[in-house]
Order: sequence, then structure tokens, then C-alpha cells
Amino acid sequence: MFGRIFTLLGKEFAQLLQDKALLGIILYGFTIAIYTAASVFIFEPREASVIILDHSRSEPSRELVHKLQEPHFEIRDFVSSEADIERYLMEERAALALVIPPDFQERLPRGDAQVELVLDGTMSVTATMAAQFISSIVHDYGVQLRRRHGIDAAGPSLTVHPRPLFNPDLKHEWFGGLIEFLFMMTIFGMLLTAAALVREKEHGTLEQLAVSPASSFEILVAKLMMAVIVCLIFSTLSLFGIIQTLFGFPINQQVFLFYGATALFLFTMSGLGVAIAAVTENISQATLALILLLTPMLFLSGVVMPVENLPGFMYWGSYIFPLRYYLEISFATLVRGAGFFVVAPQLLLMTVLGLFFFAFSVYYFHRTV
Amino acid sequence: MFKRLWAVILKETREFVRDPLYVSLVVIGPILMLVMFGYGMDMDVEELHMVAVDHDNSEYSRELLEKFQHDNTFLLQETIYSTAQAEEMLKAAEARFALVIPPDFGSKISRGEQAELEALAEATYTTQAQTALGYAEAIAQQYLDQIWRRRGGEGSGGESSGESWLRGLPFSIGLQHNVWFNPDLESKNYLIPGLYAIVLTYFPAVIASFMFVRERETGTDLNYLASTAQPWEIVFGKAIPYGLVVSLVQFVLAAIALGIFQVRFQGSLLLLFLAGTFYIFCTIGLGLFISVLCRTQISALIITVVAVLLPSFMYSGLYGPVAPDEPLALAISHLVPAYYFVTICRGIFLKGLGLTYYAFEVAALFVLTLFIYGVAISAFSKRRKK
Repeated sequence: MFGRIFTLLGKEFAQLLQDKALLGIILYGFTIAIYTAASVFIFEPREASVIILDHSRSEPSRELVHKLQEPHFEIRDFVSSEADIERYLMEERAALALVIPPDFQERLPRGDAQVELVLDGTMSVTATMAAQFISSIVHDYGVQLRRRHGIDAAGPSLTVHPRPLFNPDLKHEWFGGLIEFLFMMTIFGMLLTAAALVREKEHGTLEQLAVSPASSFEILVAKLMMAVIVCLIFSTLSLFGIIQTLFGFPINQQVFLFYGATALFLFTMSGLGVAIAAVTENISQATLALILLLTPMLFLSGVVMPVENLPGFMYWGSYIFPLRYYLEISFATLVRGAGFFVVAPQLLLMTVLGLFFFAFSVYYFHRTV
Repeated sequence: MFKRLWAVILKETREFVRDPLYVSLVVIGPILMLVMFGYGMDMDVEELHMVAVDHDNSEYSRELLEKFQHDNTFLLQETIYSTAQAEEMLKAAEARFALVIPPDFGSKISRGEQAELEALAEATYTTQAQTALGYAEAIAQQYLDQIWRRRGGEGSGGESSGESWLRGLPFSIGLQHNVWFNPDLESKNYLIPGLYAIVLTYFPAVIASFMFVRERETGTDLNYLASTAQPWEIVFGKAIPYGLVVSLVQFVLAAIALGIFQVRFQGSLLLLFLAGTFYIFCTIGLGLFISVLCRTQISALIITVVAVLLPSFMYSGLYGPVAPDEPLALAISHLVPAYYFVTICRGIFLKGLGLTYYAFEVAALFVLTLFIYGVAISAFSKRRKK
């Protein structure tokens, strides 16, 4: 039996090597795509670009502007009219504008000075964060001025020490690289086996296989193993060769647990791909079903935001996506260093799904061929 | 020569209409995707699971936690008394955020000294963690304002916002917020116009990517390889009927964006549809190019997902404008057609800008489209010569 599986496996690899376009995209997906996804920050910039409209042109107004500094702000320009603000915000050359009215200096001692902040609401994260920072900068400046003028306004103050765990420097590279990695594992895990099976079907070589001494179990195992082996090799390349080496992501926790889960995930995903290829009547149907399953799975399994952010019915719906479990396991083991007991429920559910898909495809395959 | 093009168009239309499976995917796919992603992709940080580590357990700390409880950003799940336990909970993702209140918190506040807090965020999702830390700081400041207000005996103001309680105190500066384009700061207002553009990128491309492969798989491509029709006639003959059908889907998509999701819309629908129709032909060209290169529909699907769908999601500025100071980001996004169309859509939806504002994007799309069809046609004629 193992001899036959081994022979079939050799055949699978020989067939894969013939498809140059597919090979090229596998290589691209696990190397260049992961490199760029890690290098490019896809979310709104943390540093808000700000323009200043200073009608006051006084010492305190300049002093206040001076306090808007990196890392939170970058002053793009000083403008001279409201129309300029509109132009900058329209063209997305700035995310916010600080307007200081002409009577700023005179009003300061009276305590009714006002400044205005114009925000581009289409960048809601940048706008909210910037508004918070500016509000505390303005507040602190008032405190500083009072102290300078000897006005006693002593009282409690509060400092919040932020401590991001597991990624202390909030390196987006790690997150970007990992999610692209998960994308690739999902796509290739699901489609490589399906592609191999469909190719056989359309060339009519599936019948040849069926009349060969190999059982449908052995044929399927060989196809699944091909996808699992290819993805395991390439995942090691991208995890260690790119995400660790080039972006300094430490892969030293729970590596074995992670690899075990990875093999299980690939088994589940290939099983799903084969199950779809088995139940559909022709290639077109299979491809369409794969699209309709793959697309939501890629983006609604917690890849960009945690699954908790999904609305109720989608949150429950996402339980059918193997990627959801794998993502939770990957983040837990690789990033947070969580152990077996934390990820046990996900492992269990993924195993159940995987066995179900596999049994289902063996059964269907046996019947149709 | 247009007679031949017309003949190809007729043939393709007939085949296309006869295939209910593809027609339904062309119509249902984009609609389904916009609805699902519109509901599912919510970048607002809301109800983040949080635990509190209250070492102080005083009136003050409880009051602070009440502020967190009333804030929509956090969902205070429980109060515990050990920092190590909180870290374990973050590790297991049972909570995403923890606030540690040291034992002397209340006494320092009441004595008017500097009190400290520690905010722990589970930072796998870096952007979310950063936003949460920012919000936590803001809530803490609000709480401090409240304490000051009480000390000053100015409790009459009620839940006044910002620093207004300080008004009258010399050198206090008021800050007035004025949010443009998206006054309620809802992420759906910038995500949905972007998704609208992505949907019109992915589905037209993915289905077009099957067009040549499908014929190759069934063997009917020999008809084309042997016919007298020019390569460009065959490519456009396939693109035109299909593009017109997808153009009709735009109306449904716009109706969903405006009707179901109630996205702000400031611009002209006509402009949106015109730009969209042109863009659809661009992405169909992309799909056709992939289609010429591939041997099977599944490898065409893989290539479209990896080379069109993922870049469109990651580098089109869907989640936020592409950072102007990152050369690599800029270079990549300028190669992704979705980048231009996301920018145009967002401008039309939210800012009501005319196409003249987007002269550069339109010109770039035009050049890209020409290029894409150029390579598609030349790849096809090369294959035919073989």
C-alpha cells in the first residue's frame, strides 16, 4: 500500500512540475508576496499629516504648533486660508488641519481661547487618534502656561503606561507578513489538490487511475500528501527565510505545535477542496463553488480584524472556515507563545472538520469513479 | 473588420447567455461579496474584550472602571486581582485588553498627586492594539477631568465634553472638533466605497480568467486558433458582451451601498457608472491575460486570487490611504489598478469630486488598460502561432 502511495506521489509531483504558471505563482506567493505584505503598512498611517492655519501668528500660537511633533504628527504645510484647508483635505495631502483664530493670544489669559481642529473623517482611525493626541497636547500646554505664570492649579494627574504584549514595538511587519502567509496557505492548501484532481478528470486519466490496482483511498492520500508537502516546504521557506530573517519575527515558541497544526490544517483544506471537486458535476461548477467558499473565508476568518468584530450571524458562520481555527492557532502559538491547552478546542474542531471532508471525498470519489 | 468583431461578439454573447452558471456568478458573486464584506469588515474598534486588574479596589478605581464600562470601545468582562492572570488571559485571547490599577491609585488621586495606570494590549492585531491604547488614554483623561471638575466644585456642567469645565481658568484652551466628509467617523463610509471598487475588480477578472482556459479545456479553442479573426477581435469580442453584463450589475451594487449600508453619497451617479464601466473593461482585460497563460481553470483561479484579489485588498488603500513616504508601498499600489479606482470611488462617494480632480488616476487607468490589452492580445497571438 505504501509503495503504491509513494509511486502515486511521484506522479503527482511530476504533474505539478509541468504546470509552469502554477509553479511560478507558488514561488511568488510564498516569497515576494510575503515580503511586500510585510514591508507595506496597509492601514491608515499612524502619523497624521497636519496643516496649520495660524491667524494669530503670535508667540503662544507658534509654541503650540511646535508641540505637534513626530511620531504622532507631521506638519505638512502652513497655509493661509480656509480654501487651502479644503484643497489639502480634498486631495488627501493632509488628514487634519489646526486653525488658530486671530484673537488667540489676547484670549489666553482670560481663559476662553479656542482652537479649531478640522479632521478628514474618511480616515476615521487617524482622525480619532489625532484628535485624542491634540486634545492632550492642548491641555498640557495650558497647564504649562499656568505654571509659567505662577498660577496655582495643582491637582492630580494621571499617566497611562501603554504596554503592548507579544509585539512590544507594535511592528506591523509581523502582522502583515503573517496574514499574507495565512492567505497563501489557505489558497494553495485548498486549491492544489483540487487542481490536481480536476486535471485528471478533464484529461480522462482519472478512469485510468480507477482501474489501476490503487484504491480511491490511496489515490486521494497521494494527492493530499502532495499539497501538504509542497505547502510545508514553502511555508518553512517563508516563515524562517523571510518573516524571521528579514523582519526579525522571533520563531522560537511552540514551533512543533504550530507545525502539527499546519499539517492538520493543510489536510483539512485539501480535503475541503477535494470534497468540492468530488460533489460537483464538472470543472466549471467546481471552480465556481471554490470561489464562493474561498473568497469569504479569506477575509472573514479574522485576518484583518479579530473574529469578535464580525456581526453575530457571521461570527457563527465563520466556524465552518478551517482558516479561522488555523489563524487562532497560529497567532496563539507563534505570536503569543500559548501552549497546547489554549489551542486544544481549535485543534479538535479542525480535526473533526478534516476527517469529515476526507471521509466524504473518499466516499464520493469511490462512487463516482 | 468590424463585421468579424461583431460576429465574435454575437457568438460569445450566445455562449455566455446559454451558460446559466456563469451568468449567475457574474450577477450574484459581486452582490454577495459586497453584502458579506460590507457587514463583516468593520474596522471600528468596538466592544473590545477587556479585563481589569484592580489592585486598589477603592472608590476611585471603581469609578474609573465605570468609565470604561460605559464606553462603547471596551467590554469590561471581569475584574480580577492578579496581573499575571491578566497576562495569561491575553495570551489565550480570552481578552484583548487589560487595565492594571496599582494599589496606591485612589490615595494618590485624592491627595492630588500623580497617579499611574498600566494598559496591556494583546498586540497581534497591531492597529487594533494601538487604537485601544489610544482610547484607554483618552478615557483616563476624561476621568481626570471629572475629578478636577469635582474639586473645582463645578459639578453643574454635567457630562460636558473635553476641557470646557476649565473655561474661565486662565490659560485654558478650548478645542473644537470639526469633522469633514464623514462626520460620525464610521469606518463603513470609507470601507464600502472601497469594497465597491474591489468587487468590481475581482469578479470581472476571475470570470474573464476562465474564458480562454474553458475553451482550452473543452477543446473548442481550436475553432479560434484556426479562424480568420484577428487576435484583437477575439479578445475584444470576448470582453465586450461580458463587460456590458457586468456594467449592469453596477446599478445593483450602488443600490446596495446606498440603500442597505446607507453610505454617504456626495457625487454624481452617472460619473460613478461611467468610470466603473471603463474600469470593468480594465479588470476583464487582466482576467483575459491570465486566461491566455493558464492551462486549467483552477490554476487561473489561483493566479487571479494571488495576483489580483490579494494585491487589490492589500495595496489599493482600502483600509487607509497609502503612506506617501513609503516608496515601496507607492510603487506597488501604482501598479494595482484597484488603487486608482478605489481613490476615484471614495472621492465620488464621500467628497463629491468630479473626474477632473482625478485626472491623474483616470489617465493612469487608461494607460494600464491599454497595456493590459496589449499584452493579452500579443500573448494570444503568440499562442496561436504555435
